[in-house]
Amino acid sequence: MFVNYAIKEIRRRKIRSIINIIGYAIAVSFLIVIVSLAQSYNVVASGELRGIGTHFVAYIPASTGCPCEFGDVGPFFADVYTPTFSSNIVDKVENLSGVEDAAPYLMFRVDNYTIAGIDVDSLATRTTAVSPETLVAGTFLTNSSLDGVLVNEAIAEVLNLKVGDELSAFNSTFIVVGVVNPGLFSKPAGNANIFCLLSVAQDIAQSYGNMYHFSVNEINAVLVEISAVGDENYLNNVKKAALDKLEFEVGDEGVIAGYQCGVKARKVVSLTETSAWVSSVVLIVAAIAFSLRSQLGAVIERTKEIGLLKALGWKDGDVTKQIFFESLFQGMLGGIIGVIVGYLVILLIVILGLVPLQNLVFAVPPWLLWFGFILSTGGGVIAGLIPAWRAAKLQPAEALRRF
Amino acid sequence: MEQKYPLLESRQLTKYFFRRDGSIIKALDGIDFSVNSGEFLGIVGRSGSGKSTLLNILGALDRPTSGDVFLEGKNFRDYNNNELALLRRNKIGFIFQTFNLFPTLTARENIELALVHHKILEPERDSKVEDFMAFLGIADKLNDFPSQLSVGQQQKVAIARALVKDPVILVADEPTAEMDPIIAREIMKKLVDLNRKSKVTLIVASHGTGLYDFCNRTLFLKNGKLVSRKKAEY
Repeated sequence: MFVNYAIKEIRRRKIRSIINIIGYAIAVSFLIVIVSLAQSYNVVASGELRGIGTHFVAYIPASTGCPCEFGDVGPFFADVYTPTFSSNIVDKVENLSGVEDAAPYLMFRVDNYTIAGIDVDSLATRTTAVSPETLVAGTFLTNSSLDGVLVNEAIAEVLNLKVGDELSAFNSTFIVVGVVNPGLFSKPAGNANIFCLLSVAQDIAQSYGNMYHFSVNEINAVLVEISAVGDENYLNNVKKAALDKLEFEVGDEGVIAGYQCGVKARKVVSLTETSAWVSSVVLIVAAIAFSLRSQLGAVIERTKEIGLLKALGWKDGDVTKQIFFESLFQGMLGGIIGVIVGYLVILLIVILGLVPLQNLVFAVPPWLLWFGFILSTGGGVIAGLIPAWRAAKLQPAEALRRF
Repeated sequence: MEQKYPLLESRQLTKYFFRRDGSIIKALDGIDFSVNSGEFLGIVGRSGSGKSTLLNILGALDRPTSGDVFLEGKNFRDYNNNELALLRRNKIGFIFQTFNLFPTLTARENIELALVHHKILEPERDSKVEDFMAFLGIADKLNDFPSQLSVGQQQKVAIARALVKDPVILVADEPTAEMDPIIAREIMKKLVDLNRKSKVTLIVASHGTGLYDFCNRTLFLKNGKLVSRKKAEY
């Protein structure tokens, strides 16, 4: 009977009910759209920020103590020497707590070119040195690209190199498979002009070692990607642990190069999501306040009917329950409509590509749909109960006499 | 067992209304009377004499400023609001001058509203509703909305709503006011018939003297006080 009467009352007061329902629907759909957009933006932005954030390069700095027969003039970095070491260290660094991935890296400068050997499959390589996302033209290196190289966009312009061109350097001939612009990526000891497979770089380094009679080990830097969970202190602790490990293994003093702006930038991005939440919640509260006012008006209009129900023997609680059901239905209906509209709007944005962000993937989390629905329903209940409670307190005769 | 107290009793009943300017309206001023079970009591008075206020208090729709009302020996003052609601639900039927039907509900649903909280099965409830509708001569109007009913039919639905819960006392505030005299007489006859057959106690208020023909006893109200018939007419 409560339900039946509630539905009839909602239908009888069509305009007021529709306005209430629309209010809830707008608030819920707004919540869903804005928060979804903010979350998607956060996901995309965080992904981008990984490229400048939680990673670093550990290496032993250049020294003048080159062990070659030419004294202080060594082939690595023209007139300075960067010690090389075993790639076993990479596994040891990778096993440190807080390290998500570590990759070997060998970079040196000969014949006016700086070449870097990379492990193309490693996450740390892609977040620290070069990745497919940095491609300007062509394709990324694969493990079978033994004669393929990636060239930096700057040197490609200077040398007028295009994808497919041949590049002669280090007594070898390479094919340019891609042009890259690593941008803000870490540059531990200068910017690499050419990227090739680690094994290729190691062969070149070894040939120069043989030529100048000094031993060359496998790598001269470790690229490290940290689990993106902690704050700045966490990052510093992981860096220190990695550096300690490197210094212990190599027996020399090392340094760290890297960027820390990612953490702060992510904080900024998360503020966007927080702002979206706050503005959405404010809108919902406004919708509830509007509904409260509307319900109050409805209850005042119905004071005589409430008095009549009480005259028929309905208790205060029964009257409150009755109005509660009406508010509940309106809130639920508004919530359902809002969820559907919100979802459709997001779909529309995706289909029409209305948001100018690359790789933007919208994913409305199910909990957000439930949250919107529950918030709307809860708001409806609050909006209904307060005026119902006020009306129920009246003596039946007073309620009947007032209107 | 013999009844030791009247069904309903009013002792020194007063009801004051307070205006914003501080003045007081004495709607009821020391009302003493009692009603026995099965009686048909009429309360007659001009407009503003306090009839509706008195009936509201007797019907447990309002509380007095002072004084006491006893139903079956129990003082209304001892009941909280929910207990008074239970009293209205189970023992007191109230008929309003303006019917007070819910416009969105059919005649059947309006009557059923009085039984919502009674633990009776649907077939029995339907049967009771239909019986009262038949008794009042509106059996064919069960599914009509109030707007589809005549004034007399609406009041009959209101009467059925008050009676369907089998109250011990039925309070009617000018049930035939503004009605065609023929319809009004028909409704009063139905009430008398009901009083005789089911022994329900009736308290009916009216501003007209036509009530004399139907009541066992009549009280006259003037300016919130009970007076003799002669005084009431002046």
